[in-house]
Amino acid sequence: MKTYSNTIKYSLFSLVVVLLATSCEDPIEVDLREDRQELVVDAVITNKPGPQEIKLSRTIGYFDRRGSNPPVSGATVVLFDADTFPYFFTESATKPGTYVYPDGADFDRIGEQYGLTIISGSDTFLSISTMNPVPDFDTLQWTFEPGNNFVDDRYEVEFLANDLPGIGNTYLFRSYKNDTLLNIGESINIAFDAAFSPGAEYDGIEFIVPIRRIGMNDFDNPFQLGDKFEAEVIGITNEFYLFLNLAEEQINNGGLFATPPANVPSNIVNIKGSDGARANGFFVIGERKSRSAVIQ
Amino acid sequence: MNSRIFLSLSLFFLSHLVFSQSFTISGTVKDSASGEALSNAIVTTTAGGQFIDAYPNEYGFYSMTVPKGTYKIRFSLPGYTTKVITQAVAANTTLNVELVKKIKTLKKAVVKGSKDGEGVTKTEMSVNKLSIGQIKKIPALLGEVDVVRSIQLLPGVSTVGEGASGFNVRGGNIDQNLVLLDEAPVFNSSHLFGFFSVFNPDAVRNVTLVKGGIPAAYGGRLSSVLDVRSKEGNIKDFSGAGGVGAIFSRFMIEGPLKKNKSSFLLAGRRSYIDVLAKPFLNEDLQDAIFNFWDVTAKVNYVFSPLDRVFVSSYFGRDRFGFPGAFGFDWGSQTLTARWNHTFNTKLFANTTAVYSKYDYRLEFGSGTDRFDWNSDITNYSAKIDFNWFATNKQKIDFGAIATYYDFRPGEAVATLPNGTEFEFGLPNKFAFESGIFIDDEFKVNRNITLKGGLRLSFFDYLGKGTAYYYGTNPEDNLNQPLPFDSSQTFESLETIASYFNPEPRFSAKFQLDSTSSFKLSYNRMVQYIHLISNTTASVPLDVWTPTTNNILPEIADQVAIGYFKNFGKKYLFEFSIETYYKWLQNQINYVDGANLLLNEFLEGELLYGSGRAYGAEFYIKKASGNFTGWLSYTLARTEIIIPGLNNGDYFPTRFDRPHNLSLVASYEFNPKWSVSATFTYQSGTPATFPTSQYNFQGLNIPHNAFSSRNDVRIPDYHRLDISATHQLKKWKKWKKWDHEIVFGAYNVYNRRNPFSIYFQSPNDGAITNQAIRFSVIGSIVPSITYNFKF
Repeated sequence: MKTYSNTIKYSLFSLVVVLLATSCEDPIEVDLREDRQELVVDAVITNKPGPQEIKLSRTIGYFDRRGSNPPVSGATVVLFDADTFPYFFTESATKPGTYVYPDGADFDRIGEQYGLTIISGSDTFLSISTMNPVPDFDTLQWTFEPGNNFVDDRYEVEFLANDLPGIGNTYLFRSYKNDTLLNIGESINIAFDAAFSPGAEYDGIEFIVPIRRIGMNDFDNPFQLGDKFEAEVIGITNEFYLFLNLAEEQINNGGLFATPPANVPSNIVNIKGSDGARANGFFVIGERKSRSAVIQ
Repeated sequence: MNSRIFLSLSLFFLSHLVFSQSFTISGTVKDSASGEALSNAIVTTTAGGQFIDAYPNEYGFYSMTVPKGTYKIRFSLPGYTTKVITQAVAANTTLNVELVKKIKTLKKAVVKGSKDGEGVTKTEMSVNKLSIGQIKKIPALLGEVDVVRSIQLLPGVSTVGEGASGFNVRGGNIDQNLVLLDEAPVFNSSHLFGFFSVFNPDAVRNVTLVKGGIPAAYGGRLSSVLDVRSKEGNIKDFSGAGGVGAIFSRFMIEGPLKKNKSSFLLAGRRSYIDVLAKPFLNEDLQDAIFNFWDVTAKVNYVFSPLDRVFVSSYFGRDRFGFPGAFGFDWGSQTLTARWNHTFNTKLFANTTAVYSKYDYRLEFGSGTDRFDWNSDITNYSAKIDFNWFATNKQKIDFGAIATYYDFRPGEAVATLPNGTEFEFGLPNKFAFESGIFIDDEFKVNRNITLKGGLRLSFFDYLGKGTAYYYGTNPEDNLNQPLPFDSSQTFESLETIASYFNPEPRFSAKFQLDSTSSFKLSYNRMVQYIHLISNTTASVPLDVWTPTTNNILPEIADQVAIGYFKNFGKKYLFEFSIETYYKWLQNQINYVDGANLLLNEFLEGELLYGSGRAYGAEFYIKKASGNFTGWLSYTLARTEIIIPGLNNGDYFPTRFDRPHNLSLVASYEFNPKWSVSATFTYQSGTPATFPTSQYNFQGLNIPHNAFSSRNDVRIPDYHRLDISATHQLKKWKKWKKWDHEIVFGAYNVYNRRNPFSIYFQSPNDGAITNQAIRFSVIGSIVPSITYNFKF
């Protein structure tokens, strides 16, 4: 619902300003307060066979060059399962700040908790996540859609699947075209049960159209005959669902109906409490399933 | 509390005894041409060397008590010829007076102020009145005269920016203003988001904004009362007015249904931007629906010299959309029925019944792939007000009000491609609010007047419904939804939560000399319904919610002191300075990422805190002469403290504008040409800017290293508007037809005032993030309007 109303708010206001033709948006220079080079943890772990990565970096000033976040090397990164069995992530020799575990298939205790420990300098950070399950994809399908003024001729892909029974399952969906992750703008395809948000009764039913279809297509990079379409789903925690929701809102915030900017909350905790350095980012571990097909 | 009521009552009976040898002169003061009540007139006389003054109520009724004798009674009102009537009084006397409007002549009229104008002599303070004549002189956006945009030029009033609906009074949120149109509450006063208001200027008689010392008859909102009164309708003759402008056209007609017995008024407007814009839009946008309209209608009937009934109604709608893709419309409907009854020469009563509804509807998709959504707030209200002109020294207003609310937070139907309909949404919420009130104004002596009042307000959050109960969050992590604990269902009309609040009101006036006075006031206001909105500007989609078992009533205590002075040659200038301090409790805020629409657990995503607002308002006004206008300057702060936000420290609200200056000036060169200009300056609104960024899963997320809220400001806002009005030559055949053409320019020096500054990481391959200035009006907006009246 939030996505609906944000879209509506934005399109309505665009309409008003187009017709009034008086509004304008232009880049300006502003002075910002200084950045504090805080730690950033990027740890989205799944049971996908093969290497699993955790990236450590630092925040940079808002107007610094994007992607120039300095890596954090020399940290100790360990994942524990519910029996405190350790899985060591070792820093890659070629990619500093990237810590790798060789095989995600080892993380097979779905429904149980995992803990992450990061020791960097004099700080120790802890985080906990439950490994949540996902449903199977029943089928993948596509339809030909003729182009119009805004988009070209294309095939729109879609998956069919049902939310797992029980209120409060949260999922992250991703779409791959020819094994490359589609970057669908800044819209993150997440679901709370079979729909967008809690509070509506969508438990156990088929995922709604915006999730199973609209969120899987990039209209700037549409699917065509012969392309390989792969749908992926990861079971995430409610906290990570909230994190992504807020991240999306913060990235797209602006205009007349902006909400107050807010920091996206992290689940990485410094054991020194509020005296210690703060960490940002998130740790989540979840079951992953995927299904692929060639469009023909 | 009880002792206060007792005191008032005993004072009342006592004074009644003392003056029982006297007689009462009472009646109404009206406009000679239209029969409209003149509620701002002043009635004065002298009895036995003692000065007596009386002020008519909203319906023009006045009353004064004098011993047997002969009196010269003076009726005056700026803009009207003063009338002095010599009246022998040997019994209770009815004296209905009609004042004649001064007409513009080629000869310069003699301009005179009064050294004891009502700003100085009345007990009320923090009150601004604008007649529609004054409002029409103010240069308007796109030439369309607007009530709400005009009051934004008054001291203590601000807005978060162009296009934002509503207005902020002394640091209050927009939902803290009680906006009344003929006593019916208006829940959304905006057309086209906030560019225009729903009040048709041709139908409005006058506008009163009360910011402090609020009479006990008003309640239910914290910050102000905006009382918009429509014209009664000309009871003597047919007349009309209208105009053609760039955005919409207006037409109003009024006249007697039966001369001196009954009259009507009918006014309508429709915008036609969509029609005008069509040729300039490319094909995809040509079918866009984009308009609004409204109708104001009123009839009144004089049953007897003692009884009069008014029925008035407003309905209007804004419509947007593309057929088949999406549609969005919203609007208000109000219906007011009022009965004025004069019991005797001293007691006047007005009984009001009100129906008011605001609703919006949203749909997208078409045919079998659709989504429809409705939401509304409806209320039914009954009120009785008594004005008891007990003696010349004492006036008592008292009465009672009861309101039943029906909230529909959102009801949606999704039609799936396979044709099945899927209904969801939230059940309606119900509430009952009532109040009894009394205000006793007592003149202690010639120089001191005291007014004490008390309102007792009651609120019940009613079934049928489900109440939700929540646990608590840890002290160090309050900025997240509360954990759900349990719920309980309630039967129809069963009380879920109940509140009672006494609201004392007090004001005092000390007359320093004949041209100046000092006033002070205190009031407590309690608000039981709340607009849930966490966006920069309010959206028509925002939902009203009642006070519940979780949401507590908002409370404000305000003290204000003021100095009022008339000065200058012929006392043409009115000056006032007021300072105020407000304590606010149970102010609503939102956890980060709160989902406000169709969320069953909404009440668990709210945060509560307290606030403080304080400031000083300076105001100089010149109301008559060729040169008229005012200068207002407000120095103010508004801050709130919400546990869980801004590291638990006070932070300024979004509408905190420390400096706020308005200059309004009009000059009449001759009866044919007049010019007006306004200049406004406001400190930039507070904002939260990122300091940092980081990368997570390919997303570039903005970050504030200090977790602060509203600690920077966007650039200051300032703007100059001008207009020139040319009276066109009268037509020989129809002398009654008065017409004029108004040329205007809004934002004359083409400033790009930022509404907000937002930050983005462009997708176009740029390697750095950007700050974007968003200006709703980024250029000069010229306009031309043709107005007529007959």
